[in-house]
Amino acid sequence: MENDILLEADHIQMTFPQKGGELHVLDDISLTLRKKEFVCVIGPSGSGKSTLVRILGGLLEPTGGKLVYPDGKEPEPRAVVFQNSNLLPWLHTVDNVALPLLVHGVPKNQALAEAEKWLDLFGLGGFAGEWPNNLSGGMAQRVAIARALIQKPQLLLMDEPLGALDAMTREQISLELMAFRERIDATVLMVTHSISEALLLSDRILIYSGRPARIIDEMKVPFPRPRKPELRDTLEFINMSKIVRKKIFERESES
Amino acid sequence: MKRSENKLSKAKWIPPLSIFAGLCVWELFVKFSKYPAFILPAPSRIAQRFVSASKAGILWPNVWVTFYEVLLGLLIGCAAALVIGYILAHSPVAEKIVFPYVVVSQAVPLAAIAPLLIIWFGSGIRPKIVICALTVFFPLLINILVGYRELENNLSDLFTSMKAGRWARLKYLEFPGILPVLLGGLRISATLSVIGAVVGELSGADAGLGYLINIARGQYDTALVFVALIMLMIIALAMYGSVIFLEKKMIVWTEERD
Repeated sequence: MENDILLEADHIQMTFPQKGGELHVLDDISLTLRKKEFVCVIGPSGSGKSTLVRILGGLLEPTGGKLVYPDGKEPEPRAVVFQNSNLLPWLHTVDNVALPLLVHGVPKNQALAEAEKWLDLFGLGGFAGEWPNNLSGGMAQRVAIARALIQKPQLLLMDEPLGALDAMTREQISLELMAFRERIDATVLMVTHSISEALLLSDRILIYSGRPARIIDEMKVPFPRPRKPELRDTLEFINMSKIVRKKIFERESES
Repeated sequence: MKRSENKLSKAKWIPPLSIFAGLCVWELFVKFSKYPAFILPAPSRIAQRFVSASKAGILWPNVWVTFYEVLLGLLIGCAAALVIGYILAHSPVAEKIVFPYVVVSQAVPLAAIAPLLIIWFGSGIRPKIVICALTVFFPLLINILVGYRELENNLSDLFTSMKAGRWARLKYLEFPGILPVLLGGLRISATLSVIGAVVGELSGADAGLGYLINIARGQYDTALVFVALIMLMIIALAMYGSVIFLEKKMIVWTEERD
């Protein structure tokens, strides 16, 4: 039977030991990621969203609950884009993009050719030989995204990838992401603070509560694909934003 | 005033001039104080002794012996520190077992173990190589462990998410990541190892610059003692310079600009 569910998080809990007690970060998170779906997680900061990403990315074992893979095998490759670009300062930009291929023994010239292709797609072709420390924050984050995409991930996890950037760069990259969204068939889970980013990019939005975190609401994003940037100026979009905002803040004030 | 100070701080001729001036003061001091040469020889006399010792064939063979000990000790100590550092950094249990010894060893003055090593390894160059290696090993090991600790967890996460193997981690993350700290440690160790070699030679040897110092001192040939000292300085500087050269060659990426 063809199964369209890639991954299920089943009552995930996460508690960190802490001085004089425990830090209860995730309280019973259950969610389902379908294949080729783009899901945004939105919620207050400090609510353990990064912890969730790390668990889904297989970087952290949850203290309770489990991840279920209906296909019987873990989605591979699983790429993670972190909040800071996490580029290796000792590798040129192009080598940073090629890194996932190099790490798995792809011949160097082949890996670099592929990496240059991705840099070109992000308009960074001229920066291949640059050191990461000479890149602006926006460029560095684009390189990090290219590094994730070059792996042709089945599951792409993004932890506030645009969180550290200024508003203008942020908007520009989210438009680029949208363009890529139409092209790749990865399942994407992205953590964000921006309602309009979530509405523009995702198929589904999960609304998250403060610590200990739970998913308090979920909504489908009804806009058809391919989406255009102008979508943001439509009345439906603005109304949707209002609804999401209301859902986030209602819950906030309740608790 | 400030501006001329800035200009002067960039002038390359100042350090050599300073050395030259110091030598002149020394020469004049000896000339006028009339200290006998076996207490304080003048630079000119040391230079003469350098030439005569070279001609007599008692200088260079000893220089090479010490240089050989230093180099070999440095390589062995460095290699051992790399291997053991890698193991300790990847095994907290191993680190817990070994670390007390590292700390204790730091508290033992090498000059005090040198006689022991001579008892164990004889008076040839072997104990000196061991002392050199030990001198280099511990500071370097500590630097390697510090380097590993300073590697960002985020970067380690990245490699885990890429399912990178041990070798790829070592090649792309760990080695370049600890390289600056490693070379910083090597810079200090390289000069320390010269001290290690001399300490070993002074405790009992039949060749090397430490041995030469012992002989010269016994004969009140103070000028020769100075010649040997200067050769030791040159070896230490050469080691130091090589590490700086390695740093320039290997750490080519730009520093963070924040």
